[in-house]
This record gives sequence, structure tokens and C-alpha cells, in this order.
Amino acid sequence: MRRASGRVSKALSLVQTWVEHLLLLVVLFFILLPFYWLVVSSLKPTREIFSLVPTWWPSELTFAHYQWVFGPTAGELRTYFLNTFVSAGGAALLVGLLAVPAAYALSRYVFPGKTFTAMTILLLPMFQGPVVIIAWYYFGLRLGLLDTPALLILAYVSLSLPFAVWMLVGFFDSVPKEMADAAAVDGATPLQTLLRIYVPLVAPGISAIMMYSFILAWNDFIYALILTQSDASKTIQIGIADLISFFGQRNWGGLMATSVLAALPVILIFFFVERYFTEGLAQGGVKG
Amino acid sequence: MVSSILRRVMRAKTAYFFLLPVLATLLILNVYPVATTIWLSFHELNLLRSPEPSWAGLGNFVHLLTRDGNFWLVMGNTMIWVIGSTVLQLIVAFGIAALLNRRFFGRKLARTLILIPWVTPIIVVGIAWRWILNPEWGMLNHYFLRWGLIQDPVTWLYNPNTVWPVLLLASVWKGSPFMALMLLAGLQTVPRSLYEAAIVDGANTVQLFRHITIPVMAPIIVIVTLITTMETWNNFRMIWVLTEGGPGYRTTVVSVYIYFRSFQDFQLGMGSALAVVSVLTISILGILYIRMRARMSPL
Repeated sequence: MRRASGRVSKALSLVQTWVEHLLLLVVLFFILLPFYWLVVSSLKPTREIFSLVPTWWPSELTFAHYQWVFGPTAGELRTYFLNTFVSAGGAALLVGLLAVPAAYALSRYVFPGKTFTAMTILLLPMFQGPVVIIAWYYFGLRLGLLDTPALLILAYVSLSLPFAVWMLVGFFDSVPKEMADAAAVDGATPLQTLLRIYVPLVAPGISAIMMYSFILAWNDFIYALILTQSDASKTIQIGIADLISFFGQRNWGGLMATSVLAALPVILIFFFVERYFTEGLAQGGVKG
Repeated sequence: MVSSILRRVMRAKTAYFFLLPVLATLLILNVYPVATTIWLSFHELNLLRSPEPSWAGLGNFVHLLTRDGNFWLVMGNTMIWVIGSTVLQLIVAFGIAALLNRRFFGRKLARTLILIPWVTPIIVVGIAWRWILNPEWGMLNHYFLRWGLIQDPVTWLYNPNTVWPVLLLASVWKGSPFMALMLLAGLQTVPRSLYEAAIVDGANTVQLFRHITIPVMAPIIVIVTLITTMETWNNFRMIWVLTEGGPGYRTTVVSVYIYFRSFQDFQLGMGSALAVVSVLTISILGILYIRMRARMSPL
């Protein structure tokens, strides 16, 4: 009797496992579908893109649309890519430099106002994007910084710095306190402790927050939309948005190839640091 | 005694020293823009007329609340957008998190892959979705027609009846994977022994979920909900790349309206007043959150 019911429950749990796997595959299918469709369409010749029956794989694989992106008729696309690299990279560097000492202080020291500081940092992301974009535009106008990469870099620092600090504190917390205390007993100054004990141990965390900052900047839309105007400082996303209104539906292939290329850097970086990133995310979330 | 106080003061000084760069940066780049926005909201600044702001008192706010014909419509749209996105995302994300909270082959890869929507630049998301939803060549219309779900091609993004469901679908698609991973982190903190003890006592799956998973996860559900609410509230770009607030003002949420007022009409004062109203509304949520968090005992 008992053995039989054991067998039944075993069979049941096997069925459950299969159902779960199946569900997971369905979820993955829908999650990846739009991006898959974009990539596949960008590899089809124009007449197949506009065929009435969608094809799940190009009947005739072509890289013509990608060649167009790098060709002479693609306008300033390459400049836009470069601009995006410069502003996102600049912001990531600054965020790395700024967040390390702050996370160190928040993790290792107890001081009056610590909770207030931590709370403020957590709540600052509330005041970002559309609600402050007018002020950023106004500064840019007043200081003559509108339409420069410098203004974008500063905006991007403000975008990712609060959460970057928050995430990095989690990495600092995971360093055993005894190691730092031992260094202090040996006469290391706080700065030396930071540089010799902490920085090597939290290096993955530092790279994770810099990547986070880079991804956030690369993926910005509204700041670049408002704060840049000329080809010399426009980012790739704004460039693509311009292309839509410029080409309308005539050059979907080119649009899609450009889009794939615009997504590629962040997706690659993300694959590279995903592990550290989700760790930091988990720590930040669970602690919060 | 004295030396211990002295040491504590010294340590605090060191801490402030290390915090100073970030605090200064946040003050200039994050706090100052907020102050400027508030200041501008009490001024009339119409760039088409004059680059100089002039004092307007509460004029902008009064105008918004009483004479602006779109204000309440926009606030209503914002509620649809924020509540719809957050609730749907929470449900879907919980499902994904539960599915991922098992050991199986390729779990790491699955975890990475589901974040692709989240990490994809918004304009790329826009192009991909617009292509799928395209009334003439889109795959959605093609398959829906073939399966007999619709009789005629639907202009999903321009039809007032379909635009919200489609926007919310795209929002869930983009937002729930990230949320799922945060929830997954929470699920993994639920002690296995709790479940095992309850199963021995004869609890079923629903009871396990209701009496163990939910209470243990409560703090993380609160923070995840708060983060998503705030992000959706300020999410200008998703709507911008798909509908630009249309058709008409049908999907104009407050962030899009700020854009219209400020950068199409160039009424920067009015736009700032809108931003202030927006922040005040969302701040209430922030305060509620801190209250809830404080009341919950740490695990």
C-alpha cells in the first residue's frame, strides 16, 4: 500500500517536473521572440521582410542591411555609436571612482547620519528622468553645455550612482571584517586598508557596478533626446529614432540591422558580468 | 572613556571623508536639479517668448488643476499604466521566479537569457515590437487572422481599444524578468526546513504558498513593488517609442505630458509644475513604503 502510493507520488512529481520544464520553455519562447524576430528579419532580403507570410528563418541569408550600416549612405550612424560609447564609458569610469570610497565608508564605519544617508541614496532614483529633465535642460542652456558629451556624462552619473553605491556596499559587506581590522592593527591607514584589502576583494563588484552604469547610460533615451541636438553628440538610440521618421517604412532592414548592432554591446557586456550583477542585485534586494 | 569618544569621532571623520565625493556629486547632480525644478515650477518660463523666468506664484499649479483640459485624463492614464504594469508584472514575475527556483539543466543560461528584454535598449524594443505589431506585415496580425481570432487586420498601436493592452503586454515583457530575478533571490532565502515541516503536518501547495512563501517574502515583495511602481511612473521611453502618447492623448502619461508641455510648447515653468505634482504623488508612495518597511520585523 505504502509502496504503491510512493510510486504514484514519484510518477506525479515526474509529471510535475516535465510540466514545469515545458512551461519554462514556453516562457523563454515568448521572452526571446521579439528579439529573435528582429535578428532574423534583419538577415532577410527586403522583399522577404515584406512578404505576406512570415518566415521563421531567412530563405536567403543576407548581410546587406549590415553592410548598409557601415556604408556611405547610412549618414552619421557611426558617429552616433561612437558618441554613445564615449558618454556611457565616461559615466562608468566616474561612477566606479566615486562609488568605491562611499561604499567603503557605508560598509565599514558607523557614524551619525548613516541610516539617513543610506535611505537618501536609496530614494534618490525617484527623482530621475522625466521629472528632472527640464532642470537639466535649463542648466545646459545656462551653462552653454547643451549638445555636449560632457553634459550627457554628468546626467548618466546621476542616473546610476545611487544604486551603484547601494550595490557595492553589499560587496564590501561580504569582506570579513577581521581582515580589515588586522590590517588596521598592523598600522595601515584607512586608505591603505581600502586599497590593499578591500579593492582586490571587491574588484568583481566594482566591475559589476561600472558595467551597470555603462548599460544604464547606453540604454538612456530621454536625456539624450532632450540634451543633444546635433550629429556631433547624438546617441545611437536617438539616431535610430530619427531614422524611423526619416525612412518611415522604406528601410526596415537597415533599421533592424542598426537596432541589432545597438543592442549587441550591452547584451555582450551583460553576459560577461551577469553573475556578479545578479549577486549584487540579490544582495541589494534582500537587504533593502 | 574620553579616548573612546575621541576614537569614535575620528572614525566618523574618516567615514565622512570617504563619503564626501559621492555626497557632493549627489548634491549637485541629483538634489540640485530637483531644487531647480521646484523653483522653476513657481515661475513662468516660456522659451518661445523669453529666456528669463518670471515669478508666477502658484499660477502654474492653479492652471494645471483647474484649466488644463488634459491634466486629469493624463493622471488617469498614469494610474492605468502604473497599476496595470506593476500588478501584471508581479504576477508574471512570481511565476517565472517559481519556475526558476528549481534545479535543472541549463538553469544558469535560462536566468541569463530571460534578462535580454531588460537589457535591450528601448528603441530596439520599440522597433522589434512595432514590427511584430505592424498592421500590414506584422506577425501578430498574420497569425491572428489565420487562426480566426480577428477578422480584419488590427492597427494595434493606433486603435484606442487595443493600445493599452498592447502597451501593458510590452511593459510586462520588458519588466517582469528583472522583477523575477529579484523575487528569485527572495525565494532562495526561504528556509527549506519550513516547507518540510509544513509538509509533514499535511499542508498542501496552496497553503505552503499562502502561509510560508508570502509571509517570508513580504519585505522583498514590498521593495520590488515599490521599485517597479517608481520605475513605471517615470517610464517615459517605453510609451514614447511605441505610441508617443497617442492616439490623441489616449496613452499620454504624466512623464509624456511633461515632455509635451516643456519641449513641444516650450512652457518650461508649466512642465516643472507638472513634474512637481508628479514627484509629490510618487513621494506619498515612498513614504508609505518606509512606514511599511519599518513596521515589518527584520527576518
